[in-house]
Amino acid sequence: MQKFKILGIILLFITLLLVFQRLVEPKYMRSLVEGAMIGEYYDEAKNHEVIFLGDCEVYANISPMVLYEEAGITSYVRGTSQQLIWQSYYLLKETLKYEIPKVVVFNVNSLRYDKPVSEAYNRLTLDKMKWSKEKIDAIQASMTPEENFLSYVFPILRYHSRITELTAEDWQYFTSKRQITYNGFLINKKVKAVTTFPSKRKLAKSEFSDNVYHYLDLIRELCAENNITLVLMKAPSLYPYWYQEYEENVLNYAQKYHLDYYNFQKVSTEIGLDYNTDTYDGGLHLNLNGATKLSKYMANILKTNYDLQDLRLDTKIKAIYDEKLNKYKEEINK
Amino acid sequence: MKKLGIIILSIILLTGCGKEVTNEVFSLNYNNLKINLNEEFTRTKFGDELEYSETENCAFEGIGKTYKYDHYEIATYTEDNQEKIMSIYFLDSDIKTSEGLTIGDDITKMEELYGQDYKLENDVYIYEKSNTQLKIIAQNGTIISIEYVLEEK
Repeated sequence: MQKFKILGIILLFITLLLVFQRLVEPKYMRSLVEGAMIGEYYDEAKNHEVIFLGDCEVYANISPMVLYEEAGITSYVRGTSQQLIWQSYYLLKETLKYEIPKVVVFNVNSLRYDKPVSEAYNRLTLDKMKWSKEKIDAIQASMTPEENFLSYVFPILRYHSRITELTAEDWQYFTSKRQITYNGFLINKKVKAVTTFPSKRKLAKSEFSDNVYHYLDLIRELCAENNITLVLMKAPSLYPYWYQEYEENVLNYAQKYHLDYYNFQKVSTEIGLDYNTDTYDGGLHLNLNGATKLSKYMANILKTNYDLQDLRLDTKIKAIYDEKLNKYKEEINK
Repeated sequence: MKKLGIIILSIILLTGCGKEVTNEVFSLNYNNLKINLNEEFTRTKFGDELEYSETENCAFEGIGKTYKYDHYEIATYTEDNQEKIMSIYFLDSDIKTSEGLTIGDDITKMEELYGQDYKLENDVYIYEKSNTQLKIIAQNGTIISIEYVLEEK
């Protein structure tokens, strides 16, 4: 009897601890919604022909709904804020456990970072990743010196102090969630024209680091092993500056390994981008208008150059995407 | 044993565990202005800038503001509703650090003025004082970039 009593007390304690943990951990539903993106993927039907990887330059700039509407391409953006290349690699590895796309498009902006940058950004990418060997490896590769692994296993260790900062969001989404993205694309309709940027800093090193090339090699090899075509892209964001030296590094890499590389900064006029109206933050990211233009351009590239099917002809997929498109159009016309 | 303990304790106390505790920070004296990192930024002190730019953070709230003056550029961040100086970037060789280093000088001069106690990270020479850093980039021994930075900002 005594044993059951003790067991009961332990179970009650653990339950209360889990409830407390759930309450204090960020929900990413109203504020910092970028933290919810990685988790949304798991609820998706895994039928994507194209997977996009990279930082905000993919999730703000590429709309899978437009790719489908324009060319019948099914795609998903597994992008997050300041996603670093080792995180892209482990996300790709994890994705391949669910599905094998025909094409992986990697945005090269993150190649400039050769070490973990910030715990806050790490959290946005890693918190909602499902537990797996890939998540463990991603955490270990991403942690800044001040972080510790246990705080990812037990978020209560990291977030307990939020108990005094709880908002309505924490209660509203204690057990529920809402849709944040459309296949990983985060809609932003604001308009803020490009004006000026800070002065261009001098580069100390023009070559990307060995660590960065190591992970780029791993991504390339993983794609090759799975018969996936790897495509490199640079979104047409005007800041942070994409140095000519970076451009040459990517061009050399692409040439060496026979990869296609598209720098959309160079064809912004052809895409029809107007930096007075097509960006929401003065040139760092495209808004809905700009992302739609870029995605139409991208749809044409993918349709023309890669062996992708028009999945609008597949009744099952069409049914799923018709519903998605309806919701998407409702949202963009709000 | 007791004696040994006292000796070790004395050494620790005398040496302060070997770590020098200092509150010294980098600051810039230029044109009768003393500019400290992390001090409040006001136009009253610096006057009107030649150019102003804003960059938004990705995902997080807050806007990075940059003020360009004749020979330097100040970047700020906001904390507790106060705009504070995050970095000072030299734009040309018409401005010198408080110790007399400017763009175009060589590394030997840098070492004469600041010593050899720097970190070399990705080819950037970093001198640290408390939470402030002086970051210097050189190309073929000639300094091409000088920037004062508040650490972790």
